[in-house]
Amino acid sequence: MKKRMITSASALLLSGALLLTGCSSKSGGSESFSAKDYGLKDVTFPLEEKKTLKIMTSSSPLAPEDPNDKLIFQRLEDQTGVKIDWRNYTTDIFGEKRNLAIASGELPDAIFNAGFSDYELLKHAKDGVIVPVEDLIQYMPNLQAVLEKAPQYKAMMTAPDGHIYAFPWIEELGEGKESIHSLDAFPWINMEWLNKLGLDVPKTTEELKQVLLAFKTQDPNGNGEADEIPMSFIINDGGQDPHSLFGAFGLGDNWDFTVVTNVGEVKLTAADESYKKAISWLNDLYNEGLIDVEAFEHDWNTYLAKGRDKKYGLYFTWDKGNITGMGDDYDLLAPLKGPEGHQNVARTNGMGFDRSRLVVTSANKNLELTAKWIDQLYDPSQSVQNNWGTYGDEKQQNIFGMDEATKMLKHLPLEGTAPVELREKTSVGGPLAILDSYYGSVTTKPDDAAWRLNLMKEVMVPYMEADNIYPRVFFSLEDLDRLSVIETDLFAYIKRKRAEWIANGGVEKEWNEYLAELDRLGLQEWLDIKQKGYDRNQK
Amino acid sequence: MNNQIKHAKGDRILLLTNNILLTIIVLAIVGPLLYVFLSSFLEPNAIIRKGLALSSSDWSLEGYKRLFTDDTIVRGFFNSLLYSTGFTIVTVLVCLFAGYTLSVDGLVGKKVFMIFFLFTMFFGGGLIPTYFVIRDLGMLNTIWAIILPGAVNVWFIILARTYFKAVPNELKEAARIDGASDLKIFFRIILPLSKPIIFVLALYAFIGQWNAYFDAMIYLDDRELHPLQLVLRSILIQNEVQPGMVADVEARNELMRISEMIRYSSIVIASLPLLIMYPFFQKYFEKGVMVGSLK
Repeated sequence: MKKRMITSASALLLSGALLLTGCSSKSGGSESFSAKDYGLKDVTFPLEEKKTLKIMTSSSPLAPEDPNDKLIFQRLEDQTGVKIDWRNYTTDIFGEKRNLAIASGELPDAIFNAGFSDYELLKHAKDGVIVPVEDLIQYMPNLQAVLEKAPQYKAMMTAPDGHIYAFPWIEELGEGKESIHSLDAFPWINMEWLNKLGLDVPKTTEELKQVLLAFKTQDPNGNGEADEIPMSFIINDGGQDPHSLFGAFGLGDNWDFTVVTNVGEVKLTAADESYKKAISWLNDLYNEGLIDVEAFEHDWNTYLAKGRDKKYGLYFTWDKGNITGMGDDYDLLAPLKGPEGHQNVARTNGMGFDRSRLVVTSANKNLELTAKWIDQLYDPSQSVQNNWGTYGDEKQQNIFGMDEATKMLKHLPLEGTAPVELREKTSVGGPLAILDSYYGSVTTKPDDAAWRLNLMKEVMVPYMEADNIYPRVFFSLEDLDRLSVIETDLFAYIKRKRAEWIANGGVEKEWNEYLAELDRLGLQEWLDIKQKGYDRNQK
Repeated sequence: MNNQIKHAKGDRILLLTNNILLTIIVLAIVGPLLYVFLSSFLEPNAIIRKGLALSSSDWSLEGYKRLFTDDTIVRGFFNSLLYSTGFTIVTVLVCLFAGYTLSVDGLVGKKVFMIFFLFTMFFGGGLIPTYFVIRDLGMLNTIWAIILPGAVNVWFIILARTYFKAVPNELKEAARIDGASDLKIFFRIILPLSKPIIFVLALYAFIGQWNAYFDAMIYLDDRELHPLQLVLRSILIQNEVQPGMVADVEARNELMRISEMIRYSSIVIASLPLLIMYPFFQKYFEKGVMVGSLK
């Protein structure tokens, strides 16, 4: 019995080996990963004869495995006559697969949703894996039109060596100070509690302290327990950090501690005198027991859970809908006036710009055809659909309705489907440009964004002193190296001291020591690189 | 039971502390398991807000419903089962053969072979060259890319060799006098005595393969072939918020809720086969694992 089992097992092994040799004789040999040279010149769409390009891409696991199952790409194929042979990986394994393909020389024609960091981009350009594309822009009327209307992006696309290595993703919601990225950490104050206690909305830092004290002691939620949390945040966590209050003391603060003054000087907020005063004020609040003791350690889930239970008097996040819901019980707190009369809010260095959404590899033999295909993606109406989703899909819900008369894409109400899920299933991402001027002519603003933009304009923008943010400067490899070395220590130190001072105090006493330590960690060199980058970008 | 011999006082104290310590260890192991098991039946928001309050309104089978209606997960489960079983059979056979051969006295060039094997424990070819080999053998996108590259496991071979060495030589000699060949000795005499080591190797191999995802990630492009761990990984990683997705603020919460919900139920599903296997293998495991304390 046993013997038979073993014999059959070894037979299995043997047949496995046989099967294996069978396989290898079938699929061995060199498969081509990029398209052959079609020799096309002066391409116009649609092509007379269908041509294929081979492109590698990534998509969410929720999206169809073959991107050509998406209506957007089907329509694009009909319009252009270019069939895309996709090598698609889910986002979680894409990074490894992409790097493997590059290392093993199995290069596709292009990489869509490439997701390279600036460092990788420059590195691969140096190694000749990807090619500069600035000469291709002559074939791209749509992209030219975008760059004409919004010339500031040209500098951000261009590497310090003067080449453009990738096609970007541009999504504007509001322009300049009114951009949706102008401030990430909105402070939300509990209006219900204010009304119950008969208090006015605080206008100065001192009034805020009195309000928070009242929240703490006068039981505004009326349950007889002192379970109210007058103020909460998540320290050093972007939109959940209290940095938007720092402006009451002068310069203000933001997530990457970088601001540009109106004379074009780059400054580190955390080395400014006003920063010291703001920290010292927060420490005062902490000593009064007005700040959530968990503010230095809790994660998003706990922050959210306490918010859902309406325990906060004042808290910080991008959009109150996420934490306490869209009801009227919380409202945006306008910038406060500080003890020295400052009333300012520092702008967040954020913009809807992603440098490397598509790269063309050195294996590509049909540059003109590829460029003209990519240019289709920068068509305004196409860009909008690629970013959010499309219209007229009979098999699933649509994000947009197409107004045939005006050729405008109108956002439809979402009936029950989770927006991300729908977006992942229908939109394609990639290189595209949505300029603020498109709203109202090409498409409508998404509702939630429109609501936030309005708030920003009414409450925050009048107090924004800075004319400029620090843009997405394209640094050279050497600069990137230095910046990452310096920032690793510098920012870690700033963040640690910041939390420590708010909770334990001591900022006044240790300030000079702290400034000396910042210099030791390379602050001057950092400022120097950042300043040069800024000046280069503004030119 | 009064006629039982009473333990000495010292012994009793020892037993008591022993029991207390073991209970603590058991609790430390069972606690998290139980937490995950219970959480898999609860509404995720309720867990965050109240912890394991176990009030009746929070029960939810939504996580399991999502898992079982998702055909990629079901497919991944059967793929994993196939890969793990296949890998186990191949690797155990290979390692037993090699282990036995290396345990035989008087094998010519034994040292050379051993060094040959051991070398691979310390030096590898690296990812890209290995990838080339697999590709040129035509194993990309086939089950063989999962089963064959890891089949020769030097650690297993050493375990097996050590075990075989402990088998008394007299047995082999007796068999030889009766006219048995080497093959016959291996199959008729040695293998029947080797149940513990076979089960131990099988268990190690099965668990290792069941939990593995990296080879599948590198060598299998076709999503139909992905094992369970890779499928789960991509589902769970989805909730990472991507930069530039800020406009989708409300969605972030929804995604987190879904992934939180699936997380626990998928852990339960993924560890089920192992939990079922353990009791059956346990008695061999005790014996076999001692082999690890090699001479």
